[in-house]
Amino acid sequence: MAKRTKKYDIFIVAAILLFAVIMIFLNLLLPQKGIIGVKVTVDGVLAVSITQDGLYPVEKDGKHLLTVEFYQGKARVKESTCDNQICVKTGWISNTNQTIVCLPHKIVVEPIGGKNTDGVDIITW
Amino acid sequence: MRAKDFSSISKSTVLIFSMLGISLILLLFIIFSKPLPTYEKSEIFSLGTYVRIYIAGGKVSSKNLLKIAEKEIERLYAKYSSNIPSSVVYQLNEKREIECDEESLFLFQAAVNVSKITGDSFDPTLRPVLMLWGFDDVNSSKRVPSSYEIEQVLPFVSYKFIDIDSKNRKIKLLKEGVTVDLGGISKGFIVDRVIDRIKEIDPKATGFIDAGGDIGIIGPKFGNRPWQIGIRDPFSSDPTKLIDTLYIYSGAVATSGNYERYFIQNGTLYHHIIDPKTGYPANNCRSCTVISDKVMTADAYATGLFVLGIDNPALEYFTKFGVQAYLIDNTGKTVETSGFEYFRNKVK
Repeated sequence: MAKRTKKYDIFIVAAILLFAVIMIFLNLLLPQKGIIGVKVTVDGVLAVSITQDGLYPVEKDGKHLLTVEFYQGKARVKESTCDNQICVKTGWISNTNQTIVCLPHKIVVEPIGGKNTDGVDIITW
Repeated sequence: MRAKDFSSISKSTVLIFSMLGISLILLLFIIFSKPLPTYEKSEIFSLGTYVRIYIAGGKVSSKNLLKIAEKEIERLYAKYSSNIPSSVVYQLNEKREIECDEESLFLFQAAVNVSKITGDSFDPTLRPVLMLWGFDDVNSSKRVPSSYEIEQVLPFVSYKFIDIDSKNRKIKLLKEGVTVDLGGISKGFIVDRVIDRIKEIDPKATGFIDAGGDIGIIGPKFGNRPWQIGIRDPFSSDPTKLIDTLYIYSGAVATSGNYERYFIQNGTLYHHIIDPKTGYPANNCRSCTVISDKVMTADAYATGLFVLGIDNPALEYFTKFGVQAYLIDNTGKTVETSGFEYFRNKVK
């Protein structure tokens, strides 16, 4: 009786540990879904928080500046009235450590939620 | 017999439940524990670019440190920007001779030193040429000046026209028509000063300041890990695409690239990193990344070594001045100093 119980114990303990290990690995390794949204600031002031798919025009003092598109966990600046178009050329962002910056308009498109999946903290350019 | 059975079941039950309990506690601990410091961040448009500050305070609250850093950046920008009338640089350009404090003397001397060491590949008197091209300000209209126009202003470009009298705390411009712009070095210097200020207030603070890709480390990530810094791929229009990765615990990294500020005319790309000797954009490099202990050093040498180009036979010589550099040319060819590889290793 005692012997059977011990075997049973080991089986349960092993199962629990296996479950714990699987959970940890799933948490670490499973590819994260994209960001849950983006917030758009104009010169440090929040212009719009986006969490639904769609096109969002951004303006200041009634003047159109650019349009942000959010689609299935990715965001981009679809078009901008700025000179250098760097914000448009940045393309889609889907990682929490990525931002789109439009220097001429002083606009920042910054991710909300999501996880840093490529590990990079800062970019030198 | 019954008593024996009871004690055996009880023992095994206790064992199972204690194991279960320990596993559950461990699991919850792993999922919910947050022993690491929390970083507060702030983004401001200053220093002519987009500045990101990322701080976790040791004894002072992160939010207070952020406020101090923001104020200090604005104060120093107003002091050294060549476009603000009250600034030291503007005053010098107007009055031709000024008295100034130790800090300003140090910055001017540092700019002149880098000019000397790089054989005038970096020059704080380049402003008249930058104005011709429209690279003096982000909002200036850009154009290709005629060779005649460039020849006309080149005689006013040389760090030798800046006279620094440390004893009497005076700076003088020796030739009429010479104007100074510390843009190539002051951004890095300001980040250094802000980091020094934060460390004075809170020596245990960690984080970084990223001023348009010129990065100064306040302290290692969570106090003991390196910051993972990606080098932008200079061949991609996507600024988040990387070509290399560095692991930095302290010090600074800065990059100069021909994709930062440029315009295209008749199919030719003209960028803002001008060779002070020719007055034209330096074309023997596409991107130059420099690691140093100070952002000011990294910032200025990234420009100077960019101008010297990929075929610079004396690249290794510059490690004597505390810099490690990595250059990429327009064909994708790369060269680097002997110590650069060290920063690619995560484990030191």
